Order: sequence, then structure tokens, then C-alpha cells
Amino acid sequence: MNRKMPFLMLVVSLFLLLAVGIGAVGAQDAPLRIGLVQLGTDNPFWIAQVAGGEEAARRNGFELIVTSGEGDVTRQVQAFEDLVNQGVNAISINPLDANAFGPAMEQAAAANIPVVCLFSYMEGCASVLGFEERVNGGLVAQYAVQLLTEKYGEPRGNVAILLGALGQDINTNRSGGFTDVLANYPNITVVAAESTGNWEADKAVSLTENWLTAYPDLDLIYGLSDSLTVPASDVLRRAGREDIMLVSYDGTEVGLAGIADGSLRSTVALLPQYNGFWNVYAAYLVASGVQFPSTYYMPGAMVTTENLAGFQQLSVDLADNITSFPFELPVGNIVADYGQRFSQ
Amino acid sequence: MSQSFSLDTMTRPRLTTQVRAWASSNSALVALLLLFAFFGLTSQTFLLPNNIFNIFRQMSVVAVLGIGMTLVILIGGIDLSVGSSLFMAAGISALLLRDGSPAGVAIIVGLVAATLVGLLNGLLVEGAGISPVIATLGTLIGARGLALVLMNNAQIRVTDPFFDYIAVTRTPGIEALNIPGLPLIAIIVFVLYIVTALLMRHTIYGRMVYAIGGNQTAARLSGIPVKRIKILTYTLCGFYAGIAGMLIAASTGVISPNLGSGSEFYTIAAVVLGGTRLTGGIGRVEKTIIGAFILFMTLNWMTIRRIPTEWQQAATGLLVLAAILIDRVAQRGRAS
Amino acid sequence: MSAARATSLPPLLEMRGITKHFPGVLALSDVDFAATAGEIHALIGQNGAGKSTLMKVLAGVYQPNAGEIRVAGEPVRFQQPRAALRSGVGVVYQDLSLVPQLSVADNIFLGREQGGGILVDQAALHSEAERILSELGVSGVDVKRRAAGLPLAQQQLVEIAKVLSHEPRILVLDEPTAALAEEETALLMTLLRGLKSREIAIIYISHRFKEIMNLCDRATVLRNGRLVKTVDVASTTEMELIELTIGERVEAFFRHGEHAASDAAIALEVEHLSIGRTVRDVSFTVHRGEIVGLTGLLGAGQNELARALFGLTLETSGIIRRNGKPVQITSPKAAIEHGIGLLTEQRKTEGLVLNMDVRANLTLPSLGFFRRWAAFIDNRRENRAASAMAERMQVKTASTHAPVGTLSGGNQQKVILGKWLLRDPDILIFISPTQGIDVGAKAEIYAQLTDLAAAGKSILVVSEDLIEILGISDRIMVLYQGALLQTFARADANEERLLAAIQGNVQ
Repeated sequence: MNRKMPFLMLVVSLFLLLAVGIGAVGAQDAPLRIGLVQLGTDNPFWIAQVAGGEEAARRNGFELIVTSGEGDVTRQVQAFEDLVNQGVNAISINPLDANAFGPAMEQAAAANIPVVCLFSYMEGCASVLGFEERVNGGLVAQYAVQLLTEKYGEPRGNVAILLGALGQDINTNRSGGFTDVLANYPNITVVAAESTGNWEADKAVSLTENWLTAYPDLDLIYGLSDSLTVPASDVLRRAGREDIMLVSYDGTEVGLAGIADGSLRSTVALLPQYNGFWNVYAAYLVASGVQFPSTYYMPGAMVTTENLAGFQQLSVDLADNITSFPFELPVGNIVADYGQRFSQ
Repeated sequence: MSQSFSLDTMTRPRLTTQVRAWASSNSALVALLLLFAFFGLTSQTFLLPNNIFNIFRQMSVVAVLGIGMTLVILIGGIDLSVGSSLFMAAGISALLLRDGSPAGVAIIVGLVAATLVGLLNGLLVEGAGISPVIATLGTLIGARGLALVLMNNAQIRVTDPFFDYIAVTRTPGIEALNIPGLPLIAIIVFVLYIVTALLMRHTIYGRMVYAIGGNQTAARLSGIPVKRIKILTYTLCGFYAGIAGMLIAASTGVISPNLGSGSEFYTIAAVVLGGTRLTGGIGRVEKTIIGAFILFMTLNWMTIRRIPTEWQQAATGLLVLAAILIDRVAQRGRAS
Repeated sequence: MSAARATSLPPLLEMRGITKHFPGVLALSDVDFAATAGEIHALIGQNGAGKSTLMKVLAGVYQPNAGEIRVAGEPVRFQQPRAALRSGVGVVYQDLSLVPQLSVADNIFLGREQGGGILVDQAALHSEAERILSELGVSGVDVKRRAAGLPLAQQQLVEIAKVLSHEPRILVLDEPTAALAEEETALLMTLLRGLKSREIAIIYISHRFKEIMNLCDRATVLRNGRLVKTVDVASTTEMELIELTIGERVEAFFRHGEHAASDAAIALEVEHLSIGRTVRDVSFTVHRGEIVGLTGLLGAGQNELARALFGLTLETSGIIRRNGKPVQITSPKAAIEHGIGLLTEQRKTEGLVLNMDVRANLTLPSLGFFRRWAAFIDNRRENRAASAMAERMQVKTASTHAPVGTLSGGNQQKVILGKWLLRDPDILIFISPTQGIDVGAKAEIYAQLTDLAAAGKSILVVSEDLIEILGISDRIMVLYQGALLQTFARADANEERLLAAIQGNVQ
């Protein structure tokens, strides 16, 4: 989990591609069957993840069985056990509560079914997949440094951070990656980093107002989620302080709209289809006997004023032309020059 | 002291006694003044008029939720679902606005939705006889879930000009003194408080609320329609949550799936800080705004004074505990 | 023996010149009081006379503004009840202070459980509790039972045991028999006489003159916070005690007088009323201007019947007619709308909202009278009506805006009656109207009942106090096991016949 990770991942994925190619030559009699246990089916993010997974199945010629707990952990366990009983070749699961899966994981182990775990570690996981939140935080910091340098001609200025819920991993990693990078710039000061409770938008509004009073010379605010940064942008607009720059995280619709109208400078897109593709693809690779890393984190993509057009094209393509999308490439690379390489 | 003590001199208590009596029945206000003085002495920024106005605006959502919560607590109940009712109102209004409805329609439908959640609470508690904590915990989960289904779990941006007007508008300020205008949202909150406080003092409904909270059996034996008044009170609480929903939609500008979650805690804290007894029957609506101000003034000061964010949460909890203790002590002082 | 000691030895307890004032009220003014070891000393007075305040000063609950207290000649000043208890002053208060969830034994030893450390030696606790109770001559109380499960009388005995286990030299009992039945009272009397031999001074507060005459050696009478007199009970009559207490001659305690002609219009008619098994097929009528007494043994159904008429019991069958028309009384609200009011002996739980002011309590059933602009209260009219009623009822309060909870019991009772007079229903039902109130206030309430009947109201009085029922009723109905056994005209009723009737013997 350091900043070399994207590079490492590029190497790993190229290696994997090669390995799959070899595996495909070996040719199998019946297609492999891979089970996916989702959290639920009623969230656009989850739906997009499944779409990515289905594309992985289509490309590699395996059967994907999609199940979901509909937000209920006991139903998730049930779905998981059903897949074990059906004798699938591997299972990919995003557990609602990792603690509930002890016996179920033992059943899978007894049936020799490898399990790929998403976002949570469980005893017996063949591999754990997730987002590289800390790396992403560092990417945001690098962009923030770039913005401040453009403003002052050198990297300096005052920065504040709208945190999420204290104690949560994503809060620690999204902010930690950011401050780790800023630590290299002695003239950039993090004047405030405060929690918005449980990622509460109204707290983000209050904090931003208070900061405008307490730190009139603030240059930049980093909000750990678009749901915090967008309300903060409204505060800046109402106070006539649009000189303060906002960088964000999540890549939601409202965040991207904020970049489009100039109220935000950047956000981090997590690309659910891309993530969903790998969730299922990894399980397939494990089932095919490929040596897969025990942890595999995907970076997000920095979306900025500069590459917004390309990214929006990418979003459209992900939805409409999923079959030709280069999922196998690292996402950072895809977004970085998507405008030039794919939209013409 | 001897027999020469006449009854006449005794009926006129000394000034210090009067001051003490006033302080013990207005402990919330005394706490507010003391804290305000302390915060003002320790931070010049804190006293800036604009900062005070910011606090007014920041406390607006909890303050408005606190009106309905005070009423429900006065009748001996509790409503944990206010955050979800607020979210439902804000979410439905945002959906309608996104689909092109005029602001008036969006506001009315949002308010009606939250009011219906309140009515449902009342029916569950008084009709079905479920305990208030359980019933409103159910609607807390249910109302948010339903709203999330309607919103398809997505965030919705509120860009309506009327909502923006509510968030942006201020009265004219006094430029010579560098005093900015008072935010419209603060004025809305004050007006709601004044109106509700007057209604509680001067309407038959208000009297009945205090009677039910003070002694439900005696109220019923005096012919008060206890069930109907309690259901009405839960419904009103939902309505106020709806108004709070409109205010939060205007000021945050984006409806996220967790908007308003956890606000019931701050709301109950404000009510308790205002001196309303959780056992019902004792308290005043207008004192809840004092509780809300204490809460948000403290949070604001801690931010200005750069108190680490972890400590802020601990301090908020301590504040509420202190309020309860002070209230207890004041109560004992009055009894003897 | 006690009289001899009182003169020869310094009294065990001596209170001199005790003065205590609360804001606006002089509760005690220069009161002297003394009690000697081995005597039972009655403390008598109307509600608000200062009896309880004097005892609370003694027990350290209140600090006196002036005066001194000596125990066995030593000046003492207790800052809190615990200190008083340690120095041998034990008080059994009127409202029981047992913890309902704890066992009898735990209650007796509350706060000083035996056995080392955190663990309580339950066996030792139980046997010690049993020993204390048996020394008191109390049997049949399971010390392991939760206090809440005991009958009131036994709770009272446990309370006394609890205080006695501290081995006090001075024992104060504040109306210990208020909640007790006759047999239980007798048991308590025996117990107290036995305690005299332990050389402790017993101070006995009661409204019941018969008990005092039987039990006590001396009596001290207080009125309006001042000492009236301390007398030897043996050389005093009951009538003299009553007159000392109320400060005037008892002329006609019960104001008799025919209220209603039997041909007056029928205000209330009940036909074949049954409530489960508690009330069975009861039919009767109440005329305008008539006071009807309803009595029976405890649990004979009279309370249930009265409550059903006010809409508090819904599982009823039968017909109720008001002025000849059948009515459905499904709630108190409906009852009030049909011109029926109910006053119960449960002043604090059923009669008043204690933290609301006198005015709001007075107007609670009649808020509709003061309605204006659809939902508002016309405060001027309301205040005027409330003040007028408070004056008419002679409620002693600094202002009608004082919380009703700060008033004395008798004045609270007046507020309850006042709130119904303000509402002015045609039919008033009283359940045990004078239970637990002092003799002066009793007389006032009887006078009110008589006046109401004279003004054409119909009154139903439910009471187990046969003297009271005999004294005020025009007609007396006796319930036995839920059924209406017999109805007496006033002229035909006397105590013996009623006593026989309530036990099921028809003459």
C-alpha cells in the first residue's frame, strides 16, 4: 500500500493477462461457474458492479451466477451456502458483516471452493480485493499541490479537510494518503481537519462556515466525499469566497456536475463497472488455478477540470459500449488520456 | 430570630433570594450566558457578528426539529424518527424539483410526507400501543428506506432558485459597524419559535399537552381526549421535521442518503439542555432554542479554538450530561 | 407511669421555640414540644397545621430558622435524615419509602447489608429480618418476597420494622393507619403498646381521634403552625380534642336536612348494569337534589360501579339513562359531556396535575368554556373564573398561579372539588371523598355536598366509612359481592343494620 502500487499493479495485470492466455490454450470441457454474492440490487453502484462482472464472464466464457443478500446478512449467508451446494468453481463476495461468515467459509473450504472477498478480510479468503483509498488520497494531494503551485508560483498555502466518520478505514485512508503527501511540502499547512460526524452534509456546511471565520486565508478544502464537498461549495459561493479551491472524492454525479460548473476542481472516480469486472474476473482467475495476489487494490481515477470531458465519455462508454472497454488496463492510465485515445 | 417575625416580612423575599430563584428556574439561560461570556473572552473571532449569525444558521435544523421534539417529550413520548422524516421531506422535494415541479408544490408534498410519518408514529404509539422508542425506531428505519427507494439511492442536487433564495438571503446589514445581515433561515427559526411558544401558552391544545404530560390519568379523568392530543402531537413533530427538511435542503444543496441521520441525538440533547424534563409535563418550547444555541455555540467555539475533532464529540456528550446534572441539582434546590 | 416520669426526669426529646418559614408561608412559629421515654405522644392538627413540618425539622429533613432541639438533654442539630437516624430518631413516613423491586429483607437492611465486601450474605440477611419481624409480633410475612407484592398493611409493618431495626430512641409514625383496615390497625396498636416497654418515645401523628383516645398517653395539638396545647389524654374527651384541633365548637358536624323530595325528577337511571363478575345486574335511580350513599365491604363492587358510570370501565352491559334518555358512556370525556363528574380519593394520581398551577387545574375539565378564536383560551375570563372559584372554595394559596403541588392535602382536595363545580355537572360521583383528610376539611366537604344537593345536583357517594355514609346520605345502597343487596331510606338506617347488610345479612 504505497505509492508504487499503480505501477506494481500494471505489472501484475499484464502478467495475469499472459497467464490467462496460457490457461485459455489449455481449453476446458465445460465453462467454469463463478458465483457472485452482492450486498443488494437496489443501488446504482451495485448494479454497475454487476454489469462489469457480467462483461468479465462474457469475455472469458464462464458462467456468472449473481445473487444478493438484499441488505440482509442472513440472506447473504444463505445465498453463499446455496452457491457452495451448487458446487460453483469460485465465489466472489462482498460481505455485509464479515463476522457472520465463519461457518459458511468453512463449508466453502470443505468443498474446495476458493472465495474472493471484496472490501473485507475473512479467514480463508483466496484473495481480498478493494479500492486503494490511501493511494487515491495521495493522488488528490498531488493535484492539490499542483493547484497551489499554480496559484502562488510555489507549493504553499492553507488547507482544511472535511473528514468523514472517525475510525472508519475509508476516512483514515482517504485523509492519511492526502496528509502523507502534503507532509513533503513544508509551506503547505493543514490548518484544520474535522469530522462531519457520520458523513453529514449539514455538518460540512457548518464547518466550512466556521472555517471561513476562523481561517480567512484558507486556500483549499479537501472533502472526503462529494456529499460533503458539494455543500461546502454552496457555502463558498454564498460567501463570495470562490477563490477557495475544493478537491473531492467519490466521482458521483453531483461531484462531476460540480467539476463541470467549476465549483469543484477535482474528484476521485471509483468506476463501479471496472471494480465489478475485477471482482468477478479475479474469482475466475483463482478458479482457473492462476496464482493471484492475496490482496489486490484498485486505484481510482483523478477527474479534474482538464480531463472531465474524457472521463464523461468514459462513463458513457462504460454504460453503452462495455464490450469494447479496456478493463484489463489500470484505471489511472485509462482515465489519464481517455479523451485522446478512445473518443475520436 | 424570635417571635417578632411577622408573616408580612416573610412574604417579601430578599433580592438575592429572588435572583437565585430566577436562576434556578432559568438554568439554561444562565448556562448560555456564562458559556457565551467564557467563549467571548477566549476568542475574539467568536464574538464577530457574522460568526454569531453563522451559529444561528447552523443550529437551525436541530432547533426546528427541537420544537416538535419538545412537544412530544412534553406529552411523555419521544420521537427518534425526526432525522428520517426530515430526510424524506427533503428527498421528495428534491426529486420533484429535479423533475421540474415548481418549488411550492415540492415544498407542500415534502411537508405532507413528513407530517404523515409523524401521524404514523402517533397511530403506532397511541393506536397500536407500541412504546414510543420502538415505534419511532421503526419509522426511523422505514421512512429513510422508503425515501431511498424513491431516490434510487442516488444523491440529488437541489438547485432551485427559491431554495437558494432561502439559503442566501439576509436582512440588510450595517456596513458602518461591519455587521452583516441576519440570515433568512435564522429569522424563519425565530418566527417558528415565537409562534409555537405563543400557541403552547394560549391554546387549548397547549394546555392539554401540559396536562397530559403532567398527569395523564388526571387529564383523562378531566375529559381531555388524551389519545387524540398525543397523536396530534406526533403529527406536529413530523410537520416540524418537514420544515427542517426544507431548511437542510436549502442550506446543503445536495440530498445524500445519510442526510439528517443522527440528528435525533442532537435534537434530544438540545431539548434536555433547554431544561425540558424527559419524563414529560415540564418544559418550555422556547427554552429548546437556548439548548440548541448552547450546543452549536460550543461546537463553533471548539472549531475556532482548534480543539481536535475527537475531543469535540466527547465534549458534546459531556455538555448534555452536565445539563442533566445541573437540572437535577436545581430541582433539588427548589424542592427544599 | 409515663405521667410520673414526665415530671421527674428530663424529657427524652425536647424541642423549644421551633420556627420554620418557607417563602411566603410561616409553617411553624415558636413551637414547643416534648416527649418522654415510654410514652406514646399524639401529635394532632389539621392539614397544614405544621405536624409534618415539625417532625421533618426533628428528622433533619428541614433546618429550623430558630429554636433548639435536645435529645436526652443534649442539644442536637441534624443536617440530614441519616444523621438523625444515627442519633436515634427514626421516622416512618406516610408515603411508604420501600423499594418495590427489592425483597422485604433487602428493604429492611437497605444501605447496610451484612456480610463483607460486595456479596451480601442472603441467608444471614433473611434470618435477621425474620428475627426483627417476629420480635415485633409480625407473622406471615415472607422476607424473601418483593415488597411490591405485599398488601399495603404489611408494607406498613415492614416499614416500621425497617426503622425499628435501627433501634431508635424516638420513633415517629406519620399517619401509620391511614391505609390500614380495622384488624391491621388493631395489630399495629398492640405492637406499639409493646414497644412502650422498650423505653422509647413514640410520636404518633393521626387524624383518627378514636385511635388516639385508645392508644396515646399525651397529645399535643397544633393549629396554623402554632402550639395550641399539650394535654393528658386520660383526662380529655374526644370532643375536646376535636374542638382544640379545629379551633371552634363542633356544632353540627354532619349537616342533616332533607334534600330531595322523592318525587323530584330522576337524573340518573341505571338498569341491569353488570361488569364482568365484579358488578352483577345492578339497577337504581338517583333523583335531582338527592345524596345517595353507596357502600359495601372492600371489593364488593362499589368502586367499579362508580367508575363505570364515568366511562372508565368499558366491559359493561346494561342501560344508563340520563334524564330519561339512554346514553353511551364510553370515556370520561363522554361522561362529562353527559353532565357527570367524578372525584376520587386518589388526589395526586387521578385528581390533579401537580406541576400545573391552581388555575389550570381548576379549569381543566371546562377549557371549552373559555374558548375563543377556535383554538385559543380567553385568559382573562379563565383567570377571573379560576380566582372566583378559588375564593369560593377558600383555597389557601399565595396565588392561583402557584403549582397545585405546593398546596396542602386539604387545599388540593378543595381544588379538585372546585374544578368540578366550575364545570357544573348535574351528577357528581364521589369515591371516598374524605379519606386521609383532617377533621376540619371533612366538615367543609360535607357542607359542600349538602349545598350541592340543595342546589339540585344529584350526588353519589361511595364510601366504606359507615358513619360518613349514615351522616350525609338521603338513601343508602349496600352492595354485597357485586349485587345490590338492600337499599335503606335514611330513617331506616343505623350503624348496626348497615354493618349487617354489608356482610350479606338482609333484614
